[in-house]
Amino acid sequence: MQANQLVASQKTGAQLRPAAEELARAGWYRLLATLLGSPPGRDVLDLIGTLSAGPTPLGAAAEALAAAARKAEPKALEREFTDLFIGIGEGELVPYGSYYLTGFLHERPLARLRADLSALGLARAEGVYEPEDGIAGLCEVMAALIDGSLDAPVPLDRQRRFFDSHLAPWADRFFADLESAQSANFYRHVARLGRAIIKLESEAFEISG
Amino acid sequence: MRSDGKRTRGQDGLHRRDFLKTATGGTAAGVVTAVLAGGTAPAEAAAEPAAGRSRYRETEHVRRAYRLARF
Repeated sequence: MQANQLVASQKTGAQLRPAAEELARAGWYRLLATLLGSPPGRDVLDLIGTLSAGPTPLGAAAEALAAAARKAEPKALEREFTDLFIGIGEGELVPYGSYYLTGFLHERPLARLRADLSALGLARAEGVYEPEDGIAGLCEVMAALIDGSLDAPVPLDRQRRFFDSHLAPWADRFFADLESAQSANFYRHVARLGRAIIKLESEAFEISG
Repeated sequence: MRSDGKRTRGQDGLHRRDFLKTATGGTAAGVVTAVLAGGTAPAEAAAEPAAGRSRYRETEHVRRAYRLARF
């Protein structure tokens, strides 16, 4: 948030709504969180099928995902998701920050994440047993930091600190692995979109300094 | 532009928004993501996401402290 917006909110006490371009980022993160959290059903697939393209890497990735969504079959996606992320004890991929950064789950990256989540006033919800440093969860946090869906929108520099600490170190590598995973079919396109989003985020944060 | 040639924070904000607009290339993700989120405004935050429950919840005491410390 810029200095002039800060002054305005103190004067009026009004809750400022983030700019449309910032809210769009939350949308992209939420899309990733949805697809990476569970295999999409027909309703979600139909919705994704309506994404229209733009002449940019992100646009092309979205178009490819939309096309894949229109062809996808929910039952097959359930199998693909299981093979990729669940398996028997372990899927083809282990989409957790601790695993990517140390080779093991429940390591220091998770401890650091829990501390940062606590400072943000967030904790794991009731009935959620997976570690907080999964890719879907992290995307959900980013969306919430941007649009305030869990508490309030946080300033850009705080979003950036979260992104730099918990996503930047491993997310692109994960999406690259997903893109080339043997079991991946529909999820190849999710991975391509994920890479485009992470890249866009890194570049956009550079601009805000 | 400041005399030392550095961008002011206000200018960075506009530059960033232009960058974001250009990079998404007008891809209309708005409807899709709005439905997935169950509403994009903070006021609608109470609505559960269409695609499933949140993995997170707010912690009450920190929430109060955070509101007080927000700006």
